Parts: sequence; structure tokens; C-alpha cells
Amino acid sequence: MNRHLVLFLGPCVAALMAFFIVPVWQTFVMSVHADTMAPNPAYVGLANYIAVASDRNFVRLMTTSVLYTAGNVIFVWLIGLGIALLLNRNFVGRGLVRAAFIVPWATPYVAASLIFSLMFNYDVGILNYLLGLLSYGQLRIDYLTSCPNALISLTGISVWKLLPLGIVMMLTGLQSIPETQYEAARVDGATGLQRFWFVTLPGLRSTTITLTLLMMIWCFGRSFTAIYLLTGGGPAGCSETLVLKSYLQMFQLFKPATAATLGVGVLLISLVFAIAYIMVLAVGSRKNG
Amino acid sequence: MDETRSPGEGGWGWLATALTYAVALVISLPFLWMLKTATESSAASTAFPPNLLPDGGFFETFETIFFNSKLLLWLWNSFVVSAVSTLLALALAIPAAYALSRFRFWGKSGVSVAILSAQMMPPIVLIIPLYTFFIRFGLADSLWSVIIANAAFALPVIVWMLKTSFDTVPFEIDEAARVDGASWFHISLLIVVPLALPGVIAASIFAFLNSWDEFLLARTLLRSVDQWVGTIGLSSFMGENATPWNEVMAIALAFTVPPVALFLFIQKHFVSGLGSGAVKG
Amino acid sequence: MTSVSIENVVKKYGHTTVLHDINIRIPQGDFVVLVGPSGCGKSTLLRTIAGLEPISNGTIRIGERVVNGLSPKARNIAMVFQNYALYPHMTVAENMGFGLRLSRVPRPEIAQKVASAADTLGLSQLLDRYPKALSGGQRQRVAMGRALVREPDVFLFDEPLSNLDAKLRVQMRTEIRSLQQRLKTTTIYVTHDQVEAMTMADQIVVMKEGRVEQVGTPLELYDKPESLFVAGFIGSPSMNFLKGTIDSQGFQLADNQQNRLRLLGDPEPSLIERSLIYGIRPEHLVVGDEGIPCRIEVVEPTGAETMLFCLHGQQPITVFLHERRFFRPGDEIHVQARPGLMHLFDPETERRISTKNPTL
Repeated sequence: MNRHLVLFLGPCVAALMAFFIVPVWQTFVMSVHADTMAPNPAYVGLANYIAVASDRNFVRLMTTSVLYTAGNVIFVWLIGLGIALLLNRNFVGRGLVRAAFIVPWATPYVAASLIFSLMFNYDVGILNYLLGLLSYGQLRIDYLTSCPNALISLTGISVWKLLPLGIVMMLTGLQSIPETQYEAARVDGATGLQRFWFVTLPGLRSTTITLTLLMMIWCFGRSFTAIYLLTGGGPAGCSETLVLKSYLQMFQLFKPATAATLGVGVLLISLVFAIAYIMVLAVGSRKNG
Repeated sequence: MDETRSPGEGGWGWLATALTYAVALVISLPFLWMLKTATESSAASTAFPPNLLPDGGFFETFETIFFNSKLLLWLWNSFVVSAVSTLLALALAIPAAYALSRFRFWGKSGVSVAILSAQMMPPIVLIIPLYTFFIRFGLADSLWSVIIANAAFALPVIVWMLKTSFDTVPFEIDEAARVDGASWFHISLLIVVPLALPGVIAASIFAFLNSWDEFLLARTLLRSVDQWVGTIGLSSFMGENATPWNEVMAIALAFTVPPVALFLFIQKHFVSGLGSGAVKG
Repeated sequence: MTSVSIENVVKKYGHTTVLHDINIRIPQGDFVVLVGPSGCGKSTLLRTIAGLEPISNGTIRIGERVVNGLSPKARNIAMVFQNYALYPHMTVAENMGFGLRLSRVPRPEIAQKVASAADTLGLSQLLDRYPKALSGGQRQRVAMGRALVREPDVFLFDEPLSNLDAKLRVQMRTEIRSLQQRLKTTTIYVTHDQVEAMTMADQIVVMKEGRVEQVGTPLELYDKPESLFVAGFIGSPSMNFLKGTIDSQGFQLADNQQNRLRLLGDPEPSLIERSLIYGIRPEHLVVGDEGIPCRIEVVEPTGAETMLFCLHGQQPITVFLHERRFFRPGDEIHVQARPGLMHLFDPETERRISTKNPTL
């Protein structure tokens, strides 16, 4: 069986080494060398880390990344649960409605960014038009070019994209709660709201943990495309995340070591989430097994 | 389901249904707005107040984008990149997933944890050195660089998806095949893959859509317009005010239809596969 | 037709030994049943013969050939699995012909062999169906057909009937047995059901905790069980075991000095006053005026036969009468052994105590 093991697993493991482990190591090596595109940069130890952490915008950068991630987690959970509750019933046209809820997932991020840039348009965008209707022409919002708004709008786009995942996971979670628990609660005299509080929410515990961790990993480590395309981190850096900054340092400012240092930061934070995720999975499988 | 709910809920049923439709409409609004803008004339696309229904500039717009732009080329590039990287990823992932599902060996849990954590890897950490790597091997600005990288990026997730679905095929079937004289190679391809087909399809679609959607890496590696994939081509209209919105949206639509169609086509398999994989691990 | 011999086979999983030094010689053409409670190692032994599990020590021969380390394919065996393990995505004909297809037998030849096996098993009408469209019994037959088509040296069956309902099980039992008698292919059959073992086997191998307890024909095991375990396992309902001693007049229970159970002939002097276990099958007890008193707890009439579950103090005694008799729960009766049909066991070693008397 050993020969087969090498034959079956070997190529995949080799590819994972070449495209995951080696690059991570190289990023780390880059982060402890001088910040230049020239060959053979000098070893500088933790100087780049110190420089990044003592940058006057460092706190803002971290805050932006955390707010973006937290916003995604909270809203995908809340809206996802709400929609999953609506969908977990029988009604006419359920297939069509479910399809509608899946579409954002399949829409490519770049296409979504373009659509939202049209909808967010200050002068001709539908959102400002609808807002104008509601406020008798008094209100227009600057969605992408003023300060807290840009981050809020970008978080909104990401929530829109990730919502289907939240809905699907919440639906699976809801359907895994046995009907008998609801019946038992009803026999005990629980009202609808009490059943939700004492049966549904506890039943969604493990789904919630998994969803939260997955969202943290994805939003935090992949907060790039829409931000890059719609605001480029602006205005005045108020929608700049760690990932975006790392990219800009590498490919626009040609500062590979700073980029790598930020990358290692993203990795370390993601790693904390990932370890938590794997531990949750391990506990879950031990329970099931 | 409705019959088994409490009678008290019956009266509110229609309200919940109406609310569901309303929420579905709001969620679909961006897609519908793209559809509407793509099918109107360029004058209408910048009208304010906006028209709520298209005025029918449909054929003209589509003639322009298909014959007077590089859209078809970019779509083709995206297709080649996605299809080839999916096949490449499957070729590596199917045997690996089979081994993880069937063989007992030392270090198995280590490999599993490595694969799970690779799924969590933020792409930016990989892209900085990979960029240097592809430049050095002269693969920059070649579709091959994007193909290889996309295949590798999809690998951890699809190995895991495939392993989960292979696990559902009873081991006795493998044994029967071994007694019938099948090699491990035969068993995995002739027995386990066909029986786990929904999972294999879901994994393929996942890999395909991932490369179809990939932007960061393609943006750094592909320079010349003829090598661009759809995501790069599409992003070139961002903030560029020469192309009217109706054409931009039509191009976005042409690029969005294939993944949406695939998604709706396999919705059931994919959704349940991903859902169970995510919840049960 | 090939013999199979298992010599000093040991199988370990890590530090747990699941097969301890197994030795079995199976003559060619024999139908051998491996039987024992679950966890006794019978399925593991079968799987080592099939080549699905490697052995840690010892030798397995099929014919004259040592097959240790050979793949299942190279051993030229066929196996029928407990859950049939049919390929759900193949038709009945494809399922049966898969092994031949893998060994690149020409298509017409496969078709012909499948047709003839299907004919033997009454599957000819079902060849184009998929397994999900078959009943349990039909699936069972397809699994056998798959084995048959390959014309193997040895058939291996792993609890093939345990998923069938009782009636079908009895019918398939006969069919498998008669098929084997026709083909004369050496067969090793695993079951936990001693009735299956008794009705089908030429030789039975009783296993317990990874060891062979006894090998013999069904009647040898019934008449001369070598251990308490075999005595209790073979035969239904199970043998009664009573603790006590022997004196010149017979067997007396530890708590009852008055009444005695019959022995055959004079006991050997070495056994007198020794503490023993007296085994007597329920069908070898008679109800009469003498013997051990006991109280009937449950009566099970099955029409032609009558089963009585009695208690003598705390000691349960089962009586099986091949006639219809009328009793009620609560009746006090005396039971006595039929002449000569008893077994003695050593309570320490749990082995049979053989006596010189040939009929004992």
C-alpha cells in the first residue's frame, strides 16, 4: 500500500508544498530583509515589523480591518438567520426565491463591483434616486467618497456577496433541529418567541460558531477586490484594509518587505481564526463519532 | 411542513411570504439592475431619474460588445483558465482525496490538518512570492501562470470536498472490487468516482468558479490586453468614463451569466454538499 | 477445486491481537463454516484469506501456493459480502461481469459466462436492472452470481444471509448448499448463526476471542462439545449447565442432596466427589416422577413441540419436549436426563471431561 500512498497522495502534497508552504516561507524571509526590489537585500531582523507597527496609520489600518470583518460577521449572521427562517417554510414560488438568494454568490466579484459602482453613483445611481423619493429630494448620500460611508458601503457589498453562504448554513442548521423539540416545547406551553429563544437559537449554536469563524477567515484574508476597485482604500485611507495595503505596497510602491510584513500579519491573525476553526471541527467530529 | 405548524401561525403565513418576496427582490436588485441597464440604450442608461424598465437597446448593445470589443477573447481566456485549472486540480485532488478517505497511514491527521489550514490561507501571502517566482520562470503574462496558481489555490478545498463525498461510499464496495481484481487505480476511477459523482461535480464547479472569479493574481500577472481574463477585462472599465454604462453592464452580464447558470444548474448538489461539508466538517 | 490451509496465523492491530495462532486445514471441495459470537475474529480470518487484511504471522496456502502478501486478485478467490456490496451504478450483468472485464476477457465470453451464471441463479430476467430495483433476495443472488462468474478456486461468504428475512434466509441456505454441492468448489462461510452452521457445513470451526475452540462436523460438535463455550453455542435451545458433584448413584446438585440426575453406567472413581459442571441439552430431558424438582415459569407451545422454562431455586432449566404436553406456569415437575445423553465439564478449565465410556 505504501507505493500507492506515494502515488496517490504524493503529487497533491508536493503541489501544496510548492504553492503554500514554500511561498509562506518566502514571504516570511522577505519580511526580515531590507525593503528593496534590488537582488540580495540585507538582513534587517524585525525592523520592518517595528516600522509597520509604529506607522502613524497603523491603528487606523487595524481598526478598518476589524470593523470590516466584524460588520460582515454580524450582518451575515443576522440577515442570514432572518432569511433562513423565512425560507424554512412551504410557500408558493420557493424554488424561484431560493434561486434569487443564491445569485449573489455566483456573481463574480468584479462584476458586482461594477454594478454597485453604478448603483452608488452620486448623480444617476438608483440608490440616491430612491432616497430622493423617500425624502422629497432632500437627501443624497456620498456612498464611496466620504469617510465612514466608504467602509460601510464596502461592507455592504461584501455582506451581499456572502449572504448566500450564511443563508445556506443557517438553513442546514435549522433543518438539523429535530421537529420533536418544537413539539415538546409546544406541549410545555412555549410561545412562538419562546420556542425561538429556547429551541432554535441553542440548536444553531454550532452553526453559528462555524459560520463566524469561516466569515472571519474569508473576510479578513480576502478583503481585496471590491475595495481595490471601488475606493482603492480611500478616501484618505479610511477604507484601507491590511490585505489591500499589502498589495499596494508590493505592486504600486514596490516595497516588498513592507508588503511581506503586512502579509505575515494577515497570516498570523488568520491562523488564530483557523486554529479555532479546526478545533471546533475536531470537537464536532468527536461528538458525532 | 405548513400543516404541521401550529394553527396560530396560519394567519401570519401570507405576511411571511410577502416579506420573503420583498427581501428576495431587494437582494436581487443589483442583478436586476445590471440586467436592466444592459438591455437599454446608452442614453437611457444615464438618464435621471432612471427608467425602471429597459427601453430595448438590447441588440445594438450586444452587437457592440460582442463584435467591437475584446469581450469574446476575454471570455475565452477565462474559460480556458478555469477549465484547465479545474482539470489539473481534479487530477491531483481525486487520488489524494481517495487516499485520505481509504488508506490508513501514519501522519494522516497531520496531512488533514495541513489541508484544512491551507484552505484558510490568505491569498496575498502566497501571491507576493509567487509573482516573483513566475517572473523568474518567464511565465508572467502567460495564461499558464494563472492556470497553475488557480489549480493550486483550489486544491485544499476540493480535496476536502472530495474526501467528504468519497467517505459516503461504503468501503465494502471497494473490497468487492478488489476481490474482483480491480487495482486501486481502477477502484478510484471506475467505482468510487462514479458513485460520488454529485460530490465530484460540486468540487469541479467550485474550482471552476473560483478561477472564473479570481482577480488578485490575474491582475498582477497578466499584462497584455490579449492575455486578459474576464475579471481583468471587466475591471478595466472601472472609473473609465468613455464606455457607456449600458455596454459596461452588458459585458458584466455576459461574464456573470456562465457562473450563475452553472450555479442554478447544480444548486441542489452544491448547496447541500457545501452546507454539510461546512457544518459537519 | 483446491484445499486451503491456515498455519499458525496471527493478526494484530497495533498491540491488540485479534487472531491467536490459528490452524485450520480445509480439504478440497469442503464447505466449512466459521462460527462464533461477534468479535470472535471469524470475519477477520475470512478477510485475511481473501487478502483484504495482511496477516502478522503464519502462512496461508490456497492449494499448494503460499498466498501471504498476494493481492485478492492473485489468489483467485471470490467473495460474497454481508451487504452484498453491489456496484450501484452498474446493471446486474455489468456487476457480474466486472471482474472478467478487468481481466480483459473478450466481451462475448463475458456475456456467455454471465448468462450461464444468471441461468443457474434464476437471474436471467433481471440482467438489465440496477441493484436499487432488486429485492433483498435478488441482490443476494447477484452477489453470488458475481462470485460464480469468476470460476474461483475458493468461495468466501461473509454473513451473506444476515440481511434477509427469516423465510428467505432458510430458502437461500438450501440454495447455497445445493449450488456448492453441484460445483464442488471449496467454500468458507462465516456466520454468527449456529443454525446456519449446523445445516450447511461439512466442517464447522467454532471461534471465540480470536482462537479456534473446536473443529468438527456438525454432529461431532453437537455430540461431543470440547468446551463449555461450544456446548452452549451449538444447539438451540442452549444446553443447560448445572453445578454439582457425582456420587455412585448419579449427579447431585450442590444445593440439593436428595435428587439426582442420571449418569450412564458407573462413574469413574476419579470423578467421585469432584465438583463438576453437568451439561444436558433441553431435548434430552424428560418430565417424570423422579429427577430434579423444578417449577415451570413459562410454557411455549409451538404446535408439535413444547418448550418449558423452569427454575430449580435460582437455577434455570430449559426442557424441550418433542410432543404436545399440557402444562401451566406454576406447575411443579421433576426432570430427568435421558439415558446417556449428558456431558461433564471441568469448572476450572471449562473443558470437557472425557470418560472411558464411549457413549458419553
